[in-house]
Amino acid sequence: MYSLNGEDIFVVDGHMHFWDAGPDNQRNDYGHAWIKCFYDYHSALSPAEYVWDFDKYRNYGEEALVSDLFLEGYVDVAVLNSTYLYEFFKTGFNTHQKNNVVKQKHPDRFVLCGSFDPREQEAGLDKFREMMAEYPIQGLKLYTAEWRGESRGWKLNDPWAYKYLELAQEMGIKNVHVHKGPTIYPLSRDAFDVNDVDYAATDFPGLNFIVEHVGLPRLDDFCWIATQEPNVYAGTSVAMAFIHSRPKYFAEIMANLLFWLGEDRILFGSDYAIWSPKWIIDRFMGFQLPGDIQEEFGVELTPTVKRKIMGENAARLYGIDIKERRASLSGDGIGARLSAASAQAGAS
Amino acid sequence: MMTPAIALPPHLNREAVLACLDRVLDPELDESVLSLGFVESVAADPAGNVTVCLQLPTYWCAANFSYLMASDVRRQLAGLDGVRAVTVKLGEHFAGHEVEQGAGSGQTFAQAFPQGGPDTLEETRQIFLRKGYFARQERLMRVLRRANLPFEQIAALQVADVAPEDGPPSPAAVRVEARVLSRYLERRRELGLDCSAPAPLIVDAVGLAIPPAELETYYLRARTSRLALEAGGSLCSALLQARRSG
Repeated sequence: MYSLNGEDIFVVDGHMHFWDAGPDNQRNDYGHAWIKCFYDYHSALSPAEYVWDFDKYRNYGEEALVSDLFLEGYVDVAVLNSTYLYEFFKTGFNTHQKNNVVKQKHPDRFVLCGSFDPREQEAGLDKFREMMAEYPIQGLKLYTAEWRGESRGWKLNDPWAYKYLELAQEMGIKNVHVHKGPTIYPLSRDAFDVNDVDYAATDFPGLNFIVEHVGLPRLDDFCWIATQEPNVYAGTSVAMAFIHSRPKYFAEIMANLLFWLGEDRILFGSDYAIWSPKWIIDRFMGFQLPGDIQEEFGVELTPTVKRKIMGENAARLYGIDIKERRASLSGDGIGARLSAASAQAGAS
Repeated sequence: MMTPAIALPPHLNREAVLACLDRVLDPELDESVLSLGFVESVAADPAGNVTVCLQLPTYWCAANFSYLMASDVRRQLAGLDGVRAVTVKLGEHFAGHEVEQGAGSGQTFAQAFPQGGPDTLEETRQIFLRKGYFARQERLMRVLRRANLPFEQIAALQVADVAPEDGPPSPAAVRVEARVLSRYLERRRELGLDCSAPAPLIVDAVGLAIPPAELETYYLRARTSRLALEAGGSLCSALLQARRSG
């Protein structure tokens, strides 16, 4: 929860990770290259005082997660991504099984995302059904650009992908986060292409497609699709992190999203632990679009708009009643630690 | 911009070599690999065997774009007098070996990456040449808008109606920043579009004039394409800097 001029802002971090990329879990040099690349994103865009050392970054552990998101980072509810990468990491990078352990300790604080790979065809459908039945999966995170055997990626509108999306919908899934941005093993342009979202969004009007990283560097293609498809949303992680060192581009990206999609279809995401929500939210809440950009685009980043982007939009997608959820969060273990800290701050 | 380490024999001219590299674009960003700082070093032996080392912003930069840059470096330098052979090396990269071998021996992308499916490299290049075209066009239109020209008037302009602001006397109605104009016309020519004096100044990627009533929407879209390229370039520069210092 963030307090703006005495008003409480409900914060949903729409995109974050709890990974273990420590040396013990790395299977090969790719595992190292993977986390090193993440670290470069981290150090390239974080303010200096928020840059961690590489050891902590590889495997930061649960207490750091709880503190960076909830105790220090204003987050009320966080959407946990699941990524597997067994080829690089012995026990996986951040699997839904591992994510669920932390979710179970703080059930109201996390939304757990599962995943599927349509290239597993029939056998994968059973596995997917099992995952949906055994775990409290509320959303999906899909990576279309991943290599697998001879395949160099897949598309959301592949026939097998449609079978999985149909099954997901039958099992109550509403929200599908699609990774479209800097990626794993990117061989061809097709892997980055956002056009497949257009087909899937038309054919599955009951699903919401949150395009993570707003398709960067395909922001333009993403915007054209989103203007045509009312169930396509902007996931702003990576773009959000521009706010510190590249505020001009941040302002322009935000103005474009507000111009093409409007204030109801933009979701905050920190991409933690690539970046920490605290500094992004501190800066975002204090951020004003420069006058010339406001004038040119005819959009404003008012407190109301900020509130929507920070949490109201995501809460709506995930059916979270903000008032009720606030009440339940204030009574959980993290809520107790937050009250204790605030009482102590009040006393001193 | 990082200046590459350069070691050349006397018969190779430093400026000419740099000019070649400056013509090699990161297709996705529409900026030269030289100005992006991707060129780490250039060295040649007295026989004219040139080795260029490229360092891309991440280990995972897409293989197809990396391939385009490596083969373009080779092609540009191979055309220079006194160059016998060109080797391109990539700093740590997931597909570095295949890119170096394939681009170095003039293979097509599909030959170097047989598992990648049909060769769409040229198609990819064309897609990004067009994106770059929109970005360059947006910068030109932005200048015209700043000069208070309404869209209807911009739609009616011909190529002959604009001239570089520091150029010789000209009957052209509007003066614009020289680099903005030259970059626009350069890409327009590359796309094979008519650049003659009476041609409309603003045409789409296949050379059709934009109806005045549609120009504003066209401009708003070009504006987003320009931002996508610039923001991508900005992210890549930040990543490359972090990679070099870490």
